[in-house]
Formats: sequence, structure tokens, C-alpha cells
Amino acid sequence: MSLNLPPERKFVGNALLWRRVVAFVIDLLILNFIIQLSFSGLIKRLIPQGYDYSQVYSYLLSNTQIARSLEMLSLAAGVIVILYFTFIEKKLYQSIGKKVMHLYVVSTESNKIKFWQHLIRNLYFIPVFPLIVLWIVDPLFAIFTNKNQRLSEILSKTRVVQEFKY
Amino acid sequence: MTKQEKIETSGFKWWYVVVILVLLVIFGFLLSGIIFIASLGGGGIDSSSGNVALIEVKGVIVTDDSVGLSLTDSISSTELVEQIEKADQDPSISAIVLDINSPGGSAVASSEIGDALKRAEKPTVAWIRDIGTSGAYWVASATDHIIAHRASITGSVGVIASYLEFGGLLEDHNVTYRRLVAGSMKDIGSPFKEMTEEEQEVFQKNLDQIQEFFIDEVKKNRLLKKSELDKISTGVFYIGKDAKDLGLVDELGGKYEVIKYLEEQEGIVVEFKEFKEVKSFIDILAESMGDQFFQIGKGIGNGAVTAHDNNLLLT
Repeated sequence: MSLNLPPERKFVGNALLWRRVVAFVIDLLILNFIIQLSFSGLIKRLIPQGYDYSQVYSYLLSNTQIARSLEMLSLAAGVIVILYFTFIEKKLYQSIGKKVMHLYVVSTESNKIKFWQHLIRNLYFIPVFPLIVLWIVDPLFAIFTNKNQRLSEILSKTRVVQEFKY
Repeated sequence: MTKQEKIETSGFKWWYVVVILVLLVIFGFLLSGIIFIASLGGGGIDSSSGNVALIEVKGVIVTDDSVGLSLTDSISSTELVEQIEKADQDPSISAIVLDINSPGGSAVASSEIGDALKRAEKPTVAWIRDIGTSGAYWVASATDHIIAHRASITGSVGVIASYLEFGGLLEDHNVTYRRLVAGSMKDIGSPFKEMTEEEQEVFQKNLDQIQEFFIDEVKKNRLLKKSELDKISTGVFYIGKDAKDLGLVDELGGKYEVIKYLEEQEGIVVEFKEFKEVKSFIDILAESMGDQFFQIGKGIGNGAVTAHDNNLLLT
């Protein structure tokens, strides 16, 4: 006996926040691996091994050149994170984390997301003032706005959506 | 749930993701290399391993070494104080050793370095090589322990401000020094005229005062007796052996004795770490250019210079 069921239907809606958080954590784990692989050798050269946090702090206070190099390193890490999201989401509309959680990045203006939109939505990864303010402001916007958009997403006219099937 | 939207995708291409990840790792290595090279040549402190800071005090001690490739070796107190403070704050450093080979220099510069050494919380040792006289001895006296070779030259606790006077020579060649001053002592020390008795008194008074500061500093630092002070206050220099008898140095020897002292007295297994400013190629080039312009400017300016160029030196 065959059931005369209607064909599967899909529609797109706001991505659930917990899905976004899990997707972000997955992406961070991948990025952590890439950054560790690229920079761990240099960090070992810059900071003597076996120091605790207070010793590292004193060491950096007394070695401004090393501290400056670490600042450069954090900026470089920010650039790598931006490139990861920009290049993958530009072509595939998903990062690896979003793929796992079935999320997509879409433009609220047109079908295609432009390069500047990707840049603006990911600019908060650069660890400099005032962009670091977004580390607090962006999640608050995502929690309290109707479409769960981060401030960076509102500015870049993008949002993250989820495909629902029924 | 919100309005219906179409997602424009053409499937998730894993090969593309892998290529991007590999490129990012390569880009990361590239950035890492650039930052490493920048950290080596950026004018920072040498980051070689070691637990005892070895700081060189070589050449004439000045307050600010603005001339890069000058023919006369000089070391600035600004740079030395910075290195002493960095070594003192660095948790990997257990002691500070000054490798001294200097005839002295500016009283102010020597005092600044001496004060930085006294502020340091870690043990400090002065290791005098060929010469450690006058201002350099002021610096050495501020350390906890002085080691000098028996043939090293040290002491010379005095102040000098001598200069050549060309007044007679100019007169012989029918050149007149046209004196135009507002303030009778404004051109004191000008080499183009004979110094008056009054001017000499002013000079002598200032020299005596600076020597008093110097002697007082050495007395406090070395806890010398009056008889020993009377001997050294003539400004005479001593070889290491005599300096030890007078209490100007604590021990005769060299690098081996420095290591032995730190191991026995401070319980430190010594591994030296050179503390010096590493200059980048651009810095050296800029300073070299600066040196050329400085020498040209100095040549032009010398004709018009008066006594302000005559620094009171502890050399």
C-alpha cells in the first residue's frame, strides 16, 4: 500500500541560535588547528618554555620587541580567520561549521553576497579597538534582534539562515 | 519561521575547502616567517638563551648616543639604563654583569647608569677589562662586586675640562676674535681667547663640585675610609693590583672569576645572555647618513661655537 504523501517541502528561516553557536565552535576548532600549525614554532622561539602566566607577563613587559611581535601575530591570526570565512562562504555560502549545522549565509539585498559584505561581517575578528567592542555587541544583537542578526550582519546586509524540511 | 527564501548554492565542494585550508596554512607560515625576521631586526634586545645578563659598557659614556657610526666608540646612558631595567624585570635573568672597557665620560650619564644599577634588585657585578676609569669606575662602584684584571687600569676619580686655546695662534695670523656677548661669562671657555682668572675660578669651582659628587658616590658605594679616599681623590689612575689594595676593586681576575663569584656567592649556574640593542639594516643606514650630516654640520658650526661645547667630562 502506498501512502499518498505530499512531496517534501523546504523553506528557509532564521537560523536557531544554538545551531549558530555550535557551527561557530566547529569553525573555531578548525581555525585553532590552522593557527597552531602556522604559529606555534614562532611562539616557542619568542616565549621561553615553562613560564607561567605571571612570568610571561613580566617577560613581555621587559621585552617590548617580543610583545610587539606577539601583537603582530594576533593581527595575522585575525587575518587568517577573516580569509577562512570570506573565501569559503563567498563561494559555498557555508563554512565547515555551518555545513555541519545546515546553515547558510545569505544577502538580505540580492542573491549574491558581495566581497565587501563578507569583509564587513567578519571584520570583528581583527583584535584591535574599536572592532573588539563587537565581541560583546555582536552576540547581544544576535540575541535581541528579531532576525537574530549580529550588528556586523546588519551593517553588511547579510544574515544566517537555516533550511527547514517538512 | 520567516518568509520563504531560495538559497543559491551549487553544492558543498570539499576539494575547494581543502585547497583554502592548505593555502591558509601556507599563508600562516609565510606571515610567521615575516614576523620572525621583523622581530630579529627591529631594534630589540637579543633573545638568545641564558640566565645572566651581560651588558657591554664600551667607549666613552654619553647621555645620548645620537651619532651612529662615529669613529669614537661611545655608549649612551639612555640605552644602558634601558638594558639594565629590562634585565632586572626579565624573569629568566638571575644576575647582571657589566663588561666594562671604558675611559669614562659624562658625569650625568655615569650617574644615571650608577643609579639604575643601585635600583636593580638582582645581584650586579662589574667586570673591568683593559680600562674602567673615571665615569666608568663610577658605574662599576655602583655594582655589588667589582672584578678587574691585575693589569687593568681603573680609578682616576677626578674631573677634567681641559681644552686647547687658540687665542695666540689667531693673533699670530692677524685674526681677531670679535667678542660680542650679553653677559660677561657667556663665552667662558671659548678657545679663541685667553681665559681670565675670574673665568678659571668659575670653571674650577664647578669641577671641584662635580668631583665632590663623584668622591661622595664612590665613598657611599664602596664604604671607603678617609685615608683611602684622600689617596684616590687626586684623580690618579691605578692598575688592578693597586686598586685592590686600596679597596677600589673586590677581586682580581676575569670572566672565570665572575662566573665563580656568581656560582659561589649567589648560587647561580651561569649562562651568559648578551643584552644589547640589535640594530636593523635600516637603522644603521639612517644613523650612517645622520653621521655624515652631523660631521658636516659640526665642521661648519665649529667656527662659531663657544664654551657650550666644552662638556665637563670624567675622562
